[in-house]
Amino acid sequence: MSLDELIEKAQNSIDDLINLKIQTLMGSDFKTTNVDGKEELALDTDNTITGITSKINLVDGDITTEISEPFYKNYPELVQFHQSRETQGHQIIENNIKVIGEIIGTVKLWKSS
Amino acid sequence: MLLQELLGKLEIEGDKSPSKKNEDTQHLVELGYLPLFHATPFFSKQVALAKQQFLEDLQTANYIEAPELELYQKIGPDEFVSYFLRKVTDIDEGVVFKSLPAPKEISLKSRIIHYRLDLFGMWIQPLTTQSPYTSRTDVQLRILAEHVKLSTLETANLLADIEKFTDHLLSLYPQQDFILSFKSPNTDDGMRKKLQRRGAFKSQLVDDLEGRTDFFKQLKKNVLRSNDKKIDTGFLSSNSRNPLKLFLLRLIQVHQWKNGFYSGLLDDDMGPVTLQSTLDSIAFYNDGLDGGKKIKEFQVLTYVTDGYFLFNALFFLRKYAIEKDDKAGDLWSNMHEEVKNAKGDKQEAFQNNLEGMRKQLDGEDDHPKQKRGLLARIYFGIGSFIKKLAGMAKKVFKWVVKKVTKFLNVLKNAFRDFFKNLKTGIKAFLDGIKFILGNKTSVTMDDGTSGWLLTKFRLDGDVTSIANSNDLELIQKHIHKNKYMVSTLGFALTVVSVIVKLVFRALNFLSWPLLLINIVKAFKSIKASYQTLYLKPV
Repeated sequence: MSLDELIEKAQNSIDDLINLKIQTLMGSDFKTTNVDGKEELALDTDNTITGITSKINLVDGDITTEISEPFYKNYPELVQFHQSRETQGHQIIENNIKVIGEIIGTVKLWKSS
Repeated sequence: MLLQELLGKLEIEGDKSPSKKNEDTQHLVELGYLPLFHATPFFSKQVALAKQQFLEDLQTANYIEAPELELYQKIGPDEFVSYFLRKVTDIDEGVVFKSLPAPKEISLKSRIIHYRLDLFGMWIQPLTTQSPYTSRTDVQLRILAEHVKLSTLETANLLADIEKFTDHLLSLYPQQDFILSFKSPNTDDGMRKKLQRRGAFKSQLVDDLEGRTDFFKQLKKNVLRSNDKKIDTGFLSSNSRNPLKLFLLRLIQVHQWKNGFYSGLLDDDMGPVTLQSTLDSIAFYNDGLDGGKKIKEFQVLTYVTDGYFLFNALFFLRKYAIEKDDKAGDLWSNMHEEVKNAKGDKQEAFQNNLEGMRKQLDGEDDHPKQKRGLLARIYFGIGSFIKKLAGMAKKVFKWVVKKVTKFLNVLKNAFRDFFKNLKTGIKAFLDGIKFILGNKTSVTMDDGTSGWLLTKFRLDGDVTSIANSNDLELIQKHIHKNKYMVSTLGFALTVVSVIVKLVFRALNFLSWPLLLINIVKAFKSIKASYQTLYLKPV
């Protein structure tokens, strides 16, 4: 791997810092898929909604949550768990955005020198 | 070097460095959480249980501040356990208590007090998980308290700072009480002949006692005689059995062990190994001096007769404790300058010999050792020792390059700490890089069922969790496990940021040993800045 690849991967990871996606799913198996260049986890099943997905726009504060009724009724503990994951998603961005910017900046300078 | 190559090389470097498992296991044995015979890799389950019990006791220890517990949770779970095991067994800046344990109490507090008594020879039987705080503990504390003229609580707390403890003793007793005698029947004739120089010993004694005091005259008349038949062995015998003097000998042994000169058992045997460690510390003092007056061994330690030695512990305790120089800075920053300014062949020798030392440490430190059924302790609490060495970085560099063996234990103590910080620093760096390049995944399994819960954290804040079970206990276990995940990842990213900047600045003159020293420096400085940030005084 080269410095170029490191910069590219790091920048891809943080290109979408505006939208947070928090998912909590119930299933017995999972797979990784590529969605718009991002590697994502998903259930290895044809079921439609099998959990909760929250999409949070950090700029205007819009939150969209999709949840299936059976999931909401049958898995209240996981619903609560999902809320704690939203908090962690926020914290990742809050804590690390400055540091990541510094790393990318230094590596770019390193590359150009 | 390609980035991939660098990361690969660092991963190998991290794997090669000794782990903290040996240190953790030793401390668990010392605190009575684990019997000595379980301190081997075959009993990993028992070690894990002992660690778990320690962690539970730690959470209820009101003498450890909550911010400090939080801070080390943020740095990482491995660092958390190791840091607090070291802290509670530290005798430099150890924990202090507001009260002693209650009768029959078994707690982390009672274990720490028993550990301290054991270290100073005041606890005869092995510590076990069933060692409650009883009248027996109280009796031993009182004996020690009588020596130091303090309450039992003050005494227990003073044992957490061995230098302050020693200074207190020096201020309490007349100088002559620090002239000790002991019997060492197993010392060979060569050592005895080497140290049989009473004239030099007498001159030094006059200096230290500030004149020819009555005590000096008595020693000169009855003990320091050239004719063996006229030596009062009764005096030597009773002096060597005096409880305070026995304690002082043990105190010196603990100082020697702490500073890396003594690698034998902490016991009351003033045998050849203990004697040799005294001579090594004198040689170290002489070698470390720049232009000052060097001392001969027989000026402070002399053979008398019938296996008896006289030892000027007063001189030793005052002068041979290596002076701490607060202006000397940090050892690894100073070592960085020595390595950076060294010529290519010296850098290469430094790297090769450092590698040799690491292999030796790895072989020796894989699990705690026993000698004669007792724990052969290694001193891991190197805080003040490293500060003292900071002003001797030039010497330390020279000793490594020239592979000087006479101070090998001193160097091993210092570099043991170096390799441990290197291992943890590299792990944090690689964790940070992996997080940047992909994600961090955490999985919790249910031991009883086949339930699992997996969470993947991405750098952009997206979090995906998949569960095959709604079990509440499993969910709570997962939440607890990941409580500090975000902070730990943040710490890892900070390590990456600092190291990347250091490497970038030093691009044109960065050798491999310099990179490793930079990683240790970066890791320690980030830990220190987290401490400043999170442990602000009220």
